[in-house]
Amino acid sequence: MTTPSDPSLRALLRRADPAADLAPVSDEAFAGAVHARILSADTASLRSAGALARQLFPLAAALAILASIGAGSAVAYARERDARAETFASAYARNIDPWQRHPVAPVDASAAPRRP
Amino acid sequence: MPRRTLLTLVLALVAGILGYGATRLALRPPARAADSTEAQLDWLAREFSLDKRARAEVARLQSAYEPICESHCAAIGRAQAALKAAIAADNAAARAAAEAELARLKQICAESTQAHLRAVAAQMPPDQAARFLTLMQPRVAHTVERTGAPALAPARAP
Repeated sequence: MTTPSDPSLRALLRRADPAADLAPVSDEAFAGAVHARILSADTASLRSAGALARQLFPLAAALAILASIGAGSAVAYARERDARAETFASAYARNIDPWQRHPVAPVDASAAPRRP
Repeated sequence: MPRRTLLTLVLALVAGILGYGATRLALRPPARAADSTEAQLDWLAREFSLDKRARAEVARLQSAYEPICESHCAAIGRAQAALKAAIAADNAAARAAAEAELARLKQICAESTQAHLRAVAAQMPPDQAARFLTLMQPRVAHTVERTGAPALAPARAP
């Protein structure tokens, strides 16, 4: 670990851990300490490439399935709403439009009697 | 593609289909018939964000429009009967007069219906009013044969 140069911080560290080594360390020593800490981690996710992805796969799969359910529901809801709007709009149009409300049978002019 | 990735994709697809089906089942058609005026008012209020006051105003407009609509229906019926009689009698002059009367009534009905739609739209927020007119006008537009109807009433401020 790097050693803080601030005396108050050094005092704080010393108080927290009287045995802490506060001597300055080189970059290599620092990197080595970090590497050793990673290797000693109690989870496998930090130890090899792709391990984190493998660990997160069940979560990602569950999220994908949930998202798919949500998308399916959203599509169904949108279609249902469109269908409902269509039904009610047509019914409302019939209610306010005399030509739809009381449909008048078209007059078939060709059926009219013709004088010879 | 790894097997478990493929399996996840298949499961997600199945889940999506199940979600679609379950939602369709849950959203059954309304028990109340769409032809009921009350159901239509409820739909208008829900679909076009009408508050209580606006819904009551639309209901009032609807009640006021009913007798107008009925009188138009009756006039159309009379004109249609006259046209049929003229055709049956092979009376060209009476037929022309009846056809002209029907065309006149058709125009009056169309303008009256459009005016009612605009009056209802005026009770809605502007964006909803535009959506309402876009949805409804084509459904009654077949009765409009010429332009010249009054300009759209300005929508209510939000």
